[in-house]
Amino acid sequence: MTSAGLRGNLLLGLAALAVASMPLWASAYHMQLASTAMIAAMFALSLQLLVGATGLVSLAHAAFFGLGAYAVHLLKQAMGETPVVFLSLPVSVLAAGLAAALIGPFALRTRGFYFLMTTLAFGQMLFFLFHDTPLGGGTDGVFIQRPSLIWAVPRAQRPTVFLLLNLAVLALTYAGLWALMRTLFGHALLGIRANEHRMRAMGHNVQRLKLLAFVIAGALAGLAGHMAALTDAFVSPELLGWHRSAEALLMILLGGIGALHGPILGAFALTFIQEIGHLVTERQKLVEGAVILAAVLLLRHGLAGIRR
Amino acid sequence: MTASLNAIGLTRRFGGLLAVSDVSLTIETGTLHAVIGPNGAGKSTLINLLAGELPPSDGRILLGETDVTAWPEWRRARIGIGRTFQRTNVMGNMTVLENVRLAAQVHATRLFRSAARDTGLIETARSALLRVGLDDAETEIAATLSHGRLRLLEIAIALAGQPKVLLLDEPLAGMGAEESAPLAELLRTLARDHAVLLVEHDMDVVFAVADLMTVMVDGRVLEHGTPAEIRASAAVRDAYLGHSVSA
Repeated sequence: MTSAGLRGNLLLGLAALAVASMPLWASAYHMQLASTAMIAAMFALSLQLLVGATGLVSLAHAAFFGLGAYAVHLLKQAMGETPVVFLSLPVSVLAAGLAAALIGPFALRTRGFYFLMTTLAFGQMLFFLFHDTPLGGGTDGVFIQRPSLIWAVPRAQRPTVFLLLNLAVLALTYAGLWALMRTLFGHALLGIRANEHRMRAMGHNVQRLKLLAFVIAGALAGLAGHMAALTDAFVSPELLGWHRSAEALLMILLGGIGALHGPILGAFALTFIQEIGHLVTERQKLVEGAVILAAVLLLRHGLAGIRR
Repeated sequence: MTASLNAIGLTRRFGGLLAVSDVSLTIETGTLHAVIGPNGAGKSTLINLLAGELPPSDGRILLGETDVTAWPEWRRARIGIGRTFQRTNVMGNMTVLENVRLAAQVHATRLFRSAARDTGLIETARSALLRVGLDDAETEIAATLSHGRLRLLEIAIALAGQPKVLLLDEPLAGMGAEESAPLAELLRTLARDHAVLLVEHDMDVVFAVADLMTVMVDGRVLEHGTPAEIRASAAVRDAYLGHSVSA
């Protein structure tokens, strides 16, 4: 997996500016859509640390996203009052990271196909915890109270405020991962993806490195989940389901497994495809499928590989 | 400082097969200890046992005073047991320098430090490349190297981990005559500051570079000795050297 160079990052910066300017020219609906895409991008980016960087394909990832979202709701119930965002955000990140730290040591004993199946099992266990017990507030999900921001946001301003907040968190997530991939740790992950066997023979504690990646990725998924809860004021067990993990994998595939910023492109592209599909036909999944299939077959390195 | 790697009664069973049976040997700094034997004699299994890729069924492994028998592979590599592989085993999609730097960074204490700023690591990596003569290939993608140069990269990766003991599994495999001569010379110089265990089929090279030899047949040690003693041994001649030498 490569990270974007100066030019690539400048282009991403320009795209971020375009999103930031949306309040000047876009409708509230389209700003909400952009927020949805950016939350998906954060989530897919966090998964890219496992897939593109380390070579671990996990289906448990949505469980950490969902935990991050539910943590907002559970925190409110535990406190009896609406938490401020400066509390709810770290709680979401910690809850998801902790869950990853508990699941990781077991799941990472397996590799390849077995890792995929083990993470599926762990993910579904968490899904059913929220789906079938009273803990999360019901099968169909619950409307929650948003954590309070520094100032009270009037209803009309919400799309703008959440758009900018999500943009900031997405930019920070990307910048953080970009820097992480430049550290010795990031290089070691790429080494594991390239040749785990040799890494072990060199003297790398591969298990520990993988666990660290799993926990960091889980915590970042929790951050994305927190932003989803904040933006939508709604959580449901579906957030934890394996198909949401699969959708993030699809975004990575579409955007490019080989590039750190691939998932951002993939998330926006998939959101766009879903929206267009929705407008032109009732059978939107069919359109989605066809477009994705074509994109994957035609673009060997995903959207991120087009300029090459 | 001299370090020695001791195998005591090392045994490995695969189901009913005794791949390595009651093998004891000592490898010391400053000596090149060659292990020879026909295919299937258990030489590679022995290296895998010493490196920790396989757990032994019986026996003990000591590095100096430390019993490392129960240690995982990565921990043994860190304490100073480096190895190369019979079949080239590198990060093919990375550059030569990146391959070697990854090996050098196992001793780094700060995992979240910028890789580009850690000049100490890059120096360690470069000196390993210089030693095997790959310093002109730093920026080449490993998979594009010729076979002979990949074999050198194998050794550079092992060296970058700053090992005390080097386990070399057929470093000359598939090399032409013009490539193997300088490599034989390199093996000699490596033995000056490392304890080297060499598994090799090229008998000309083995007898030229080895200080000590162990002959294995069917997982057992047939004979220990200097190259002259091995050459003179009737048992070795009968079991191995007299017949066709498998390459």
